[in-house]
Amino acid sequence: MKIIAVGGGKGGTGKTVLAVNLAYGLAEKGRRVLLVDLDVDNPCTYTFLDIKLRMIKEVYTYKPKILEEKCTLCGECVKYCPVHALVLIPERKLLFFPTLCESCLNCMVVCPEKAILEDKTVIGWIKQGSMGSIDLIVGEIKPGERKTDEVISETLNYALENADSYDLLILDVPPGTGRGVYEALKHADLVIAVTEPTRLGLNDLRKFYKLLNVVKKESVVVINKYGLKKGVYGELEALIEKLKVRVFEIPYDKHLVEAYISGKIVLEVFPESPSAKAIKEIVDELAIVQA
Amino acid sequence: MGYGRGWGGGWSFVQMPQVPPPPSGALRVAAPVDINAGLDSPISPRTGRAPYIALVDVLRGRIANINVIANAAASAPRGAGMQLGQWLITSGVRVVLASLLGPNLEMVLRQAGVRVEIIPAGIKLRDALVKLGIVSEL
Amino acid sequence: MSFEVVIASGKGGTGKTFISSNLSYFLYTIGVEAIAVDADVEAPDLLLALGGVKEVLWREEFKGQTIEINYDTCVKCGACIKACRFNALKMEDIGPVVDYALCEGFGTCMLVCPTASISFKPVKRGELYAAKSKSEVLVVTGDLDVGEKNSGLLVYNLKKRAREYNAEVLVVDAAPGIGCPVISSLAGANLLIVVVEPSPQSVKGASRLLKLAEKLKIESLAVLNKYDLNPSFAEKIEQNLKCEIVGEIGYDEKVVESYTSMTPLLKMYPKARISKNLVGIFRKIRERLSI
Repeated sequence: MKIIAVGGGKGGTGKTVLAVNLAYGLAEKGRRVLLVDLDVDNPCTYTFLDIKLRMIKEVYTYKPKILEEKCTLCGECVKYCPVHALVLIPERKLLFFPTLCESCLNCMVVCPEKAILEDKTVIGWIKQGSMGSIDLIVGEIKPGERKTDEVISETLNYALENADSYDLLILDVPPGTGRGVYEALKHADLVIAVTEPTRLGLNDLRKFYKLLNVVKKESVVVINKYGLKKGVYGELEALIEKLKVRVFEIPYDKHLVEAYISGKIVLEVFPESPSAKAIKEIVDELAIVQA
Repeated sequence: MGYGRGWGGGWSFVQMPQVPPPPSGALRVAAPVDINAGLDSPISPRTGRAPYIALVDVLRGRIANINVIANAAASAPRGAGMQLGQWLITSGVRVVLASLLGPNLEMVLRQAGVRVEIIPAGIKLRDALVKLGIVSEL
Repeated sequence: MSFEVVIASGKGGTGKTFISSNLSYFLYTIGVEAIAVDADVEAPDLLLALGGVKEVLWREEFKGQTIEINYDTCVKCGACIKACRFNALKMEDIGPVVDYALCEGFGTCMLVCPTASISFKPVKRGELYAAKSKSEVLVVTGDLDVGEKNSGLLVYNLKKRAREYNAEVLVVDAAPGIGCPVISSLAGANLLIVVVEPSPQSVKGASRLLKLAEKLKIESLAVLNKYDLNPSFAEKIEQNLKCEIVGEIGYDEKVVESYTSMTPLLKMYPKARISKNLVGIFRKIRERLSI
């Protein structure tokens, strides 16, 4: 079983489109594919695959639950809350502000009356579905919750626990270079860095490679929207040469845009288009990786 | 068990002074001010990170006490509003005069039942107190 | 007190940095004192979009708090490992070892250590700096070290520093998504501009973001970017998005070109149709800034 992480740092370069098309292409070649949507802030893989998702489990954290009948208003917890989510109104009430809580539970540890318990709080969900021979696991954060990296980790771990029967795991990694992205890359056998030939794409690719240097993984660069006029081709080429990695180019063609806009898979609806052909090249490479 | 052995409050905790409670029957009013000029101190446009907090004790429409304190919460790396809020509550403040409250401080004061009066920044503390009818004459 | 306008989108790649950079530049040209804040700390691009650095004004390390263990007094009881809610401690031969990227520095471990062998230690997690950009706009920006958590705290620090200037307006370029750094960007904001593109993925992300803004009671306006990618869908958005749309921008390769030359579009092609359209939109936004 091989794990392919599709990331890149910058938002909107086409990671999800590529991840979904790769899953489709590999499934067409007879591989058993598990696609894992780690873009928990706004998961979109399932919109391309027209899959009905069912919830598998909740992702939760623990916040304190204060038992007012046991609380003596001593105020010890207030002294040990590192994010100041507890305020004492002397002799009257202990106030708790859950939106500030970071779930360290220092308050529970220090309470001399054992008046604080841990209270399970849902911060997201892991869902699952299938389409043909593509299985899909989706992580989703509950809007308003801040712990994106934690929901990514839980989703990733769940996928890894259930990965045995697959040939390939494809991770749709969200934009960014934070802890959640780091963990996804850490587990990969191969990282696909999706970029675009624009100034910002180039800038973010540089930072993404800083992260790649930390996790030390084999990678390839995919330049999406190749052919976009007035881009930074020369500088991008120079960077890739310096990085000494393979590069694939997906041409900027209207079929890819149309498929994306209508939530369809370009390999399926426009298989002869230049972008589809370029993606098939990558599919062929990955099929070898897996073998 | 040694709680606090070395915990020392952690990096984000600031030390605010302990102030004596208001005299019996007095109403304690707090206002963020930009400089310490006693009752002529100008109301600060900020609250959580204002440089000073003025505490005024009012008894029967007259000023019994005024204390202008350096706001240690202003330099907190995080939680300035929450820490100031806790200190105001512990110090017996029942009314806060401010031009703008951050969302956290506003939330704390509201839940603690502290009355908030919004006033323009820059006006003198004495004028704000008279204008709001908290103090009858100065 | 600065009026804070946040540019966010939910989905990445819709044009946040494009709008933020040009809006800050527009405000500068009409004599409004505006500071641009790059809250996309995992992939910061705003300074680049505004021309790159002309002069760095100040730079400081973004420090967090972590813990360190005195192995001379540690008795390897493992209480700290059990107490840590973030799985940041693992037992090894030397004793418990800290994963610095997972450690949040809340010190729960310290509270349970029977030999007082744990103490706080500052740790560098990134940096923040302010620079005058080549387009004269002042940018406060930060860079989170790769693999780090807590982008939200860095964003908070950036805004704190930016507020110290007491400028009329802060234009905050948010990160993609709706997680911690975005919530931190929105805290205390006066106005949200949601950048939407005509794709179902973008509308999904925008709706999640708008729900968040509603909860935080922040006024929201939308800008429809690249609307000509799918004009009929664009029409549907106008009817269905629960938010006032202040303008629509069509795709123009001048945008790519302006990025490549690291010059705001309004500066490079002030007379182009897209620029005139953009200025019209910005004038409408200007009216909503209570300054």
